[in-house]
Amino acid sequence: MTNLTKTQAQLRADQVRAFRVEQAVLEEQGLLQLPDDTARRIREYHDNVLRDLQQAQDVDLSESARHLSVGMQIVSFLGASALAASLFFLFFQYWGLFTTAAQVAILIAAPLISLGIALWIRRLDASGYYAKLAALISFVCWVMNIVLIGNIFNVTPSPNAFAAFALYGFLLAYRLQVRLLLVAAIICSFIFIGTRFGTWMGSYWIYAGEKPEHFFLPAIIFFTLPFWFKQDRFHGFTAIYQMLSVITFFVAVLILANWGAGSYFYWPNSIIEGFYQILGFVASALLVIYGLRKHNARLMLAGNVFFALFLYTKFFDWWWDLFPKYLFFLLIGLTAILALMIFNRLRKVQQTGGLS
Amino acid sequence: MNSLRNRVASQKLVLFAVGFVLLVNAFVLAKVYINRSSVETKLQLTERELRLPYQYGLNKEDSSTRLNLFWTTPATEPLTMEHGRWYWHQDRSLKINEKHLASFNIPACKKTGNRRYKYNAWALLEFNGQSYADYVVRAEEYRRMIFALQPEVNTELGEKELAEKRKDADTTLKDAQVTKTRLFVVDAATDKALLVAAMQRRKALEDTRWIILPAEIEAGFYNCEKNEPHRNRVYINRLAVDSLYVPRDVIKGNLPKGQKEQPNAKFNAEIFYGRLHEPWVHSLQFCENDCS
Repeated sequence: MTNLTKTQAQLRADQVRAFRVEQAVLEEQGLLQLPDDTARRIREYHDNVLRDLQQAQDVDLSESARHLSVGMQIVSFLGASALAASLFFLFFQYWGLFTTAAQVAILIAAPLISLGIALWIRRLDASGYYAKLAALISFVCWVMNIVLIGNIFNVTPSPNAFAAFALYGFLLAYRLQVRLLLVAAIICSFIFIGTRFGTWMGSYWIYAGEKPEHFFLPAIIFFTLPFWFKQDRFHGFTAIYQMLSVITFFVAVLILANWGAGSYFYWPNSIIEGFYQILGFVASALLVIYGLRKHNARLMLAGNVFFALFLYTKFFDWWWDLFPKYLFFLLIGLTAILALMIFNRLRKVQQTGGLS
Repeated sequence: MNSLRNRVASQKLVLFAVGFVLLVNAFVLAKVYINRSSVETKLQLTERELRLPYQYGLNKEDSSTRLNLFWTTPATEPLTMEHGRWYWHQDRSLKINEKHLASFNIPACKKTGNRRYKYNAWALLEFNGQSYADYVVRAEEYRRMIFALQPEVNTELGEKELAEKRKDADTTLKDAQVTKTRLFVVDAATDKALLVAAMQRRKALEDTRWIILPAEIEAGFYNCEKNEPHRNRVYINRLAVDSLYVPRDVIKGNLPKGQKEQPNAKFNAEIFYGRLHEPWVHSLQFCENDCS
């Protein structure tokens, strides 16, 4: 039981709770009458299962507990952000009062001490919220370590710093199962790979963001990463890798579909924009199909959203000046109804398949 | 068995994280040591070339001291009445020769759309050299030109307006002589060897110092039609390091009270550049009035 991930443990707990509810309904309808002894043994078995799951993965055993968990996640994120800001301003306020040697010692010690605290708290607290909070602070300390040490020695800024941020972020994210740190690490990786790609293409690394094509390669790498390295043991990690990659890829395509000057291609802007518009439509439609086939609701939703964005920006280009506004919005509304009909059809097909 | 394997993997991750933190810091500190193990250039700068940052907003809470390098490029356009005292901008535009321009390999400009090409390249800086001397001469010539004007005969300017111009010309000259920066970016290329050769060909005055530093440089045009006259120009966007941290133990004298809010303090600073072209402040002396 202890080898289950938090997602698997929560699913198992939900399964037990659903069984109990259905059992009660069937008994009420007079369709199921288990002997008292059997019913008691099943109840005891399920109680033990739930207790084990609760101890191992701190699963939610009721709807209200689930709502509170979401609240705790939000509060721990806010708390971590506030503590990180507090730490930053603490350094800022007293930084100039230390000698260089003391500054270096503080900078190196800060991420290590906060890492130690995070690991110590993890042992004491089964929920993991406090440990995750400490891990986020350790990550901020690491970022400050690199930034400030470069700052006090006037080191030439380098995109390699983002690789260092990313690697430490990944280590903490995997060690303490912190999804927020995984997000931070992936974003740092995007920046690092994007800037390196930009440097190879001959531009100055700080301006990597001016060329959205820099981010295609990292988006593809991180989308496919869960295929090569299974993330079953880590709750929600696969979704984070894929969703961040999808968002980055489609935002880049969307920008280029409307601003060809940001591309490396030496074609006229109208051709570049047309190319990326087609790419956007095809890729978002493929993502919807992929999401449907893999039963991945998030990817399907992302595909839908970006397909609609590409469609509506095109409508805007074609019709905003051409049609009166009531007609423009009527057309938008009609396309939405058409999309609704298609999705309803797909849903029915899926449900028929599910029942049979 | 699985649980044991997971625990071992977790311990490895922790060890790896600790090792990584130590290794990266060791790498950065080793780089700093290598840079500072040899002083390649020494510059004696003052508040003319180094600025204390303005202390507003969040900066008010910053207890550290930083100095920003303040440099310019040689002005090439002739001084006219229209320029007045304001011709001296913090100019970033630099005219360079064909050979140095070719080193950037800037693509042919497009007829449609705007393209900005930015490069990690090298800039040749000249401190207290011919470019600064030329600037002072131009300020003197400008002053002579203004003082030679007669209100009724030579120009349409009224007496009052001319008096104003003369005052401005005096200020321009005084600024050139005592307050404006003497640090000029005089050349740029992507190949450092080209700048070394160019530096050797340049005429040096008695106190001239040269230094070649990494910089972010942009093509002078972004649109063929609009920027054709700027095809042989580049823009020096920034030096790789143009903000210098001042360690507490190198500061001598006291920053005059209230000066951090209005950074017009007088000071002398000795700036060293090391093997890796990274600078450090060797000493900073605040003065009560004028350091000279």
